Amino acid sequence: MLYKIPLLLVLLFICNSWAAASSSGMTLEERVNETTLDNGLKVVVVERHSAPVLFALITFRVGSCHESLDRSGLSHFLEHMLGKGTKSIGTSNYKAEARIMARMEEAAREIRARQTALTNWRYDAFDAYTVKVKADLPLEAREQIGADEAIGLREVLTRLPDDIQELPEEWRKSEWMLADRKHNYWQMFKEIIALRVEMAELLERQKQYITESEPLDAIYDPRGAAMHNAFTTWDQTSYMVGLPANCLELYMFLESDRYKNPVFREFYAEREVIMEEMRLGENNPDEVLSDIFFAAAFDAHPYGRPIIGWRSDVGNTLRGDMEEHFRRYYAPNNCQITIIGAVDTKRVFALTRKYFSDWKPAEIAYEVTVREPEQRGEKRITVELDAEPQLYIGWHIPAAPDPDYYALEMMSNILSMGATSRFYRSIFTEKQLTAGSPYAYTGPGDRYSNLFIVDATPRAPHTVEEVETATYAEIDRLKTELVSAREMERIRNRMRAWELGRMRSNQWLAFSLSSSFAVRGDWRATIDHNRRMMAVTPEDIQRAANKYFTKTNRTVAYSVKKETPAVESESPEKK
Amino acid sequence: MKNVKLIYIFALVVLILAPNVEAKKPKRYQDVPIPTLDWKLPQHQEYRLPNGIEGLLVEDHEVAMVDFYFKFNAPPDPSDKVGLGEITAWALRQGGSVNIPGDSLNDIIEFTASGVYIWTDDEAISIWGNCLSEHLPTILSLVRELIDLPAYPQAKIDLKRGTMLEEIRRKNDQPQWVASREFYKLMYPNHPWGWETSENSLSTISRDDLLTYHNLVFRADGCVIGFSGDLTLDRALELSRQTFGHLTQSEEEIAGLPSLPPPPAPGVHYGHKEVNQAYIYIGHRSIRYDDPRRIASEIMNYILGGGGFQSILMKRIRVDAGLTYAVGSRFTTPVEGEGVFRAGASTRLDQSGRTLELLRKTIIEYAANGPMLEEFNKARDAFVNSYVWEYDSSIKILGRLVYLKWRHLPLDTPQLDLAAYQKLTRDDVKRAAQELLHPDDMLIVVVGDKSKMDRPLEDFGAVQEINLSQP
Repeated sequence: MLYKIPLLLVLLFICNSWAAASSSGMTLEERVNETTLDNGLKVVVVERHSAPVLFALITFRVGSCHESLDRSGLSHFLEHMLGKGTKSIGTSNYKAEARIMARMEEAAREIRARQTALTNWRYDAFDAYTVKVKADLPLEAREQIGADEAIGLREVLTRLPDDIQELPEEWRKSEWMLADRKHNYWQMFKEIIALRVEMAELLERQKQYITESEPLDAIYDPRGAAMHNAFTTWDQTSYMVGLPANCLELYMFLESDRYKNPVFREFYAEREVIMEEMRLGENNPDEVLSDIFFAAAFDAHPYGRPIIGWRSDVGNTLRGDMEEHFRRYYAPNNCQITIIGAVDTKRVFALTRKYFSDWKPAEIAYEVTVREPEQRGEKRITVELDAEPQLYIGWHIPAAPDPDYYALEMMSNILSMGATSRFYRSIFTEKQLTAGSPYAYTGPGDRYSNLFIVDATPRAPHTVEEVETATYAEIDRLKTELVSAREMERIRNRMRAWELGRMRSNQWLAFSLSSSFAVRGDWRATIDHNRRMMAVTPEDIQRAANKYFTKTNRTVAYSVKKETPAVESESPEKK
Repeated sequence: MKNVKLIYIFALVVLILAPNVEAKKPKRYQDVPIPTLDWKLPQHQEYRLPNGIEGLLVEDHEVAMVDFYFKFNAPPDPSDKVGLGEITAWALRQGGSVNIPGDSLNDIIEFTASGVYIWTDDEAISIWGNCLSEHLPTILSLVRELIDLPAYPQAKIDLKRGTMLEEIRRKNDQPQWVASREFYKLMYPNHPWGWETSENSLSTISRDDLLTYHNLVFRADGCVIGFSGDLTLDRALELSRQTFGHLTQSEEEIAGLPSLPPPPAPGVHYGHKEVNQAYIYIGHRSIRYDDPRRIASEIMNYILGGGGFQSILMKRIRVDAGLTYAVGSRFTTPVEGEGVFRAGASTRLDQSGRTLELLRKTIIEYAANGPMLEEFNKARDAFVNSYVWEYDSSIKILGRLVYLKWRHLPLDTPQLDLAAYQKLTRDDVKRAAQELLHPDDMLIVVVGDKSKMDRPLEDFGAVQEINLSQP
């Protein structure tokens, strides 16, 4: 039996009655409760009693944009350190730990001073030499070292010659390599290894006082926590956790302690963890390209720097630098707590006062003042990677609440939201130039003037250039033709569905309310954002397209496959 | 549902009247009161269509939206047509029906801010969707169109094939994917769980193959459908009948998964990539879902490497040694056959020997001794207290119920599992570690540049090379 519905009938059937869609009949504005403590801490609550859980987010208005030039990565690094416990949690003897940590800090400072004196090229050469020394240790020694760093380093140290005559000939021949009139560089390098041995031993000593190395997880997880995590962007740093609703007071206790009395224990081990996180990114071709793309697009603004920072900056970061960054930005008057779920608002407010009132406010003098200078011509960057090609195009645009921003946001939806979008239809399905629909969005942050970005993956044999041309053709259409009423209404319907959909998700709602605070200082920005998006007209889009989508204002970055000769890898045990 | 709400209100009243929150702050976190979580399981409803299709409903009127989830049995791809299921699902959804071509279908779905997603795996073809409740009849009529009168236009088939070929071209771009994929290929040679698409397999797939697949899978027997959100049982029944009531039972056999090949011999497999980290996976085959040790194995693995920052691997290799950003383990227990135990980490090349050693050593020790009592207690508490998260969203409940019903597993599996976690002892978990981990029998996969490692890879066994040059 066939079951046919005439297409026209289906289309006629469709009309939307959004107003009736929310059963509570209350708008978001009516459902949000908020208070501000005397110290400036904002508390935002939405009650949702459909399940006995809550989702909580603590957001600070500090991200990688708020770092000085040679200390990139501090905000993200700090995010890692705020799970390491406090003066009373995670330790059996904080005072004893503090003494050990003070000596570690001195040793780290001494290492940094020596590394600086050695300069990178010399240090790298010496370091590669020690890796080789270690790899060449006899099997017996390798097995004895196993995974113990202190033993390994000590073993290596005994094998680094004192007499420079035993070092490679090309080093001895080079006048500047091992020593000059002021410094004995080789000696200095050996001191670094000795200091590292000392740091490994100090850490071992400190560990006898550490009762839990990630104590928040140790306490939350057995209580049934979910989604316990944190993230850093260019604009903000946020700490999240989902908990059974009976843990509300425990949450207040632990989180207030976390920001009032943190201890950055195991700092130097964590620095290595972050270097590993960074290497993961360095081996991900797409991340490499996007980092280079942003760096090329922004001459002055910190949106051009990777959130995780540059490797050499992070490698040189001391605990002292972090403490300074923490004092500067982690204050109640720079923070919002957002709690959504099966809670009683009055009780949340009372508990917040109970636990957070004695948190001291600070003067937050940090607004990024640098403005990206006007671009003087198209920038084009090519990157060679061990991967198939990828393309980024970006145009400088203003951030919210500039009226043009909303027209551009709307435009990004029209270009790439869903299978009915223009990019999907023309570039992906008709011309078949890409592996999927190119994606248009604004970024990398939201707080300061940013970029309108198109990200595309060419499909062989089509080239980056063909994709670029097709992209510009779609952009040019926006300059000359008005967007149809149906396309506009489709995006507006999607936005209405989003507004509705987030009312049934604690997490989604919390992210909306906290990122609005992060970007514009007030959760209400999300309401303002949606209202303004709804009001965008086709004429607004056309005007914005003509204003911002110029060749002069554009940065294009793409990767090409690096040509590498096939490597014959040696397998000594095979014949 | 009414009862549930009453319970929450009651619980809230108790919370409000209970100890005065302005009371003195406790000195230690251990002294913070944790009231009993008093709540009642949300209820679902079941129904059955005359043609045998099983239906499930999770009613929830918070917002005027509906989610739906339909599952049909499906065969795995034939060995010479790997990718058939994936192409079928995509071309069905994007190709539309004879009456409503793909572009019109997308227009209706997206104009109403709805969603319809179709995908396959080795055993099922699944349809998930969501929409405003007022659009549900329209969206379901589209689903019926797709099932009854699929168009499968050649152009869409070719487009999907083209994008899959591009994926093949890019398959070695990310070293982490490479290591993970090669691990599974080695673990399940000549089996759907270890297959990957190739230019050859894609080139043999024709429109007729898609139609044959389609005609085989969309039928009443084995089909499970479910809804969650803003609709009543009457409406769910009526719409289910309209959409699926005409499907019939079929005699034609749907192939099941072939039986698993014997487990691979232990050894070291190395793929060369010029990157600055080594991507390491080590492990072996695990057990099936119906193994009585499944519950113990879950907690066993949680403590070893599944439990995030609380896991032994994370503490030893990341937090204390700073050797890695990503480290952990999984212990899977599929219904259809032995899963895998797999631990992995990524680490700088000049520490990768040390990391691999530590990874192996940690597993050896754990396999011998099992967890400490405190580790076990915390892990069991985590499983018991996370039980609420099985029920925090109607959509999540829908997804689970439809899956369990389709698998013929008890719908109250979360409750049964909870009871089993509560009964578990440290000795059970210790025994699971001893019986289920085989550190001497492990496959080691390393992708990276071994010439820059701190130890010769050969220290860990005879090395076999994985060819990563393009196909």
